Amino acid sequence: MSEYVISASTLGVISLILVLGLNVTWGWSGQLNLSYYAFVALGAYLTGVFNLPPHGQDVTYILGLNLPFLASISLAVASCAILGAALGAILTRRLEGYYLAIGSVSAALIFYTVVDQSPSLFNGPVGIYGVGEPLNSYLKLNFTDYSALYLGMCIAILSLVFLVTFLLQRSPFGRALRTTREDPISSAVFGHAVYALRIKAFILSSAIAGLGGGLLLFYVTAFNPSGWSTAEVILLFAAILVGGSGNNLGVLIGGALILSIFPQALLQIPGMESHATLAAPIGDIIDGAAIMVTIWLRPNGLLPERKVLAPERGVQQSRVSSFLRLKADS
Amino acid sequence: MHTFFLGVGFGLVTAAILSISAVALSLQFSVSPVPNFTHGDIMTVGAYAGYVVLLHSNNNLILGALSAGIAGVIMAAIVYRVFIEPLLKRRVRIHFLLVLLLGASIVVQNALQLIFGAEDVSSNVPTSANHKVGPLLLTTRQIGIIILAVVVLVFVHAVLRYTRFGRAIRAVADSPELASASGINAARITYATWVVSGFLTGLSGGVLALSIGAVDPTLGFGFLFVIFAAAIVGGIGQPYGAMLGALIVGLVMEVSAFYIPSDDKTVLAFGLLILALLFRPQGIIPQHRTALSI
Repeated sequence: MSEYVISASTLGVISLILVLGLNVTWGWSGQLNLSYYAFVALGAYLTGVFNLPPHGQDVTYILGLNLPFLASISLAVASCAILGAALGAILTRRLEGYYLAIGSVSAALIFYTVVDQSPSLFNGPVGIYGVGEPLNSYLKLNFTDYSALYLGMCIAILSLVFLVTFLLQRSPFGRALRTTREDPISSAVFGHAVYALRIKAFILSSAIAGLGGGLLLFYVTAFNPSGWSTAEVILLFAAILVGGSGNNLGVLIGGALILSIFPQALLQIPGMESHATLAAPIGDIIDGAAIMVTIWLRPNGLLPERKVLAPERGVQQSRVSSFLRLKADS
Repeated sequence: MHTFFLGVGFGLVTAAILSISAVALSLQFSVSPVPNFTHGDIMTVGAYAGYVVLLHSNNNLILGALSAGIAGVIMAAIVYRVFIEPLLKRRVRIHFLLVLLLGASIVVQNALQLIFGAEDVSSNVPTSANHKVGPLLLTTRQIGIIILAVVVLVFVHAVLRYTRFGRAIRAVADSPELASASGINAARITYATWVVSGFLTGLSGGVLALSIGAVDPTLGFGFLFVIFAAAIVGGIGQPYGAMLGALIVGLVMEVSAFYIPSDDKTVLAFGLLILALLFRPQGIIPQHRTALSI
């Protein structure tokens, strides 16, 4: 495998983790949470400041604990989960629908401005950089082997996240969450704590965002405010919509299509590589158009969420028995 | 004290631009159940249209403003006819419609980037003289912008209050079904409202670009949530509230810019927005809704 393929695949795999996380708030609980990418950024920054040594002369940031890879990424995930709980508790208390969208995007923009304007936090507009290769101080691999190892690690984490979300979606928690999406009032009538469920969705989603952000940081070894904006979260939404909101497998397919295959295919068009300034806007236009076409033609995506009838066995039995009864009547 | 009044001057100009834009957003939202996330990009298109016309018309400001407004009308008509109307008819969920509008916004921004480049462009309108107005220090252009906003707002008020069209808009905003039942063509009024507010949106984009002195493809989108702040502080869907909200948000942003780092002023605007959403989502103007109030 060439280095380019490994590099592109690593980025693709990390974006799939991000897509799975966003699917928790958007796909399962139906909340338009536009602050998602702020948590990706937060995860990246926090992983960085936990992992980096105390700051020197030309760069400033908080903490600098010099913790090992696993400890720093776990701490970052935990912090993202806690802050996700706080933001979710504030926002979902009274907001839903487009008010939640506007509120969450404002929260994200506040965070963005604060990070961009205060160099003492995460080194302002320049951002943090010089993050080492995790584990490689023990392994001492060369660059190519190390990249392959990191790709493998990301794939393993993606599989784990997929397994967790897959199981959670079929769990009572996942079902309850989807009832709050379809009709929060009936859901509350049936005894679900809608507010608590929505906060839990925020927590899970923010934790996955933080995990993806941490992996992203170790992949690019630097992170600054130009790397994240409202546009990024819209691309993730594009991936989810094209794949099929709520369906974990569907969003993986959509994520691969929108975030990896389309952009890479675009670069293969002859002459495109020499016009790097054209490639980015054209790619974004294609993604935006993909959102529009999907909602026009197939609002449920390529692989729509399956309607779960629970409990399955009971339903089938009753179908059989009602069929028999019909037979008997006629 | 001097800096305070300087801030008030800037605040009035920002409020003037904001209020045109926020009133347009509120008008749209009062007749359609979707906040228009492409609003900022309609402003940007208006700004670019104004820029192109200014370049080719020897800086004729009236022509520039008109073309910005007409570009806004075209954009708003496309957004309404292609997305809002058909998809609402098909009962697509509002959430999906919002994401679709965000996608459309990305398409417009990047198309503008392909045409005009990602960098700022600026028209070469000569700078204008300073005037002392009471304690405030304003340029001729800033005074012009404030007067334009007042004229526009008075005009909107007059239309809403005293014309058949305005009554029809208010009726449709209250209830499209009841409006239809009393013989109003609700679909046509909704479309007409979009066209009118498209003109105001494009115009406000042109004025914003003139005030800042430069246009780039993300001009309007960057401003969008400040406009939402104004519209929501005033009570979304209420044109009069939007005017007051614009004044509050504009003054808070620009006056504070002299006391805190100027880039943090948007933080205040978004803070206001979140507070308004959480504690006073109905807006700052108390609503007296009775059957007889006009």
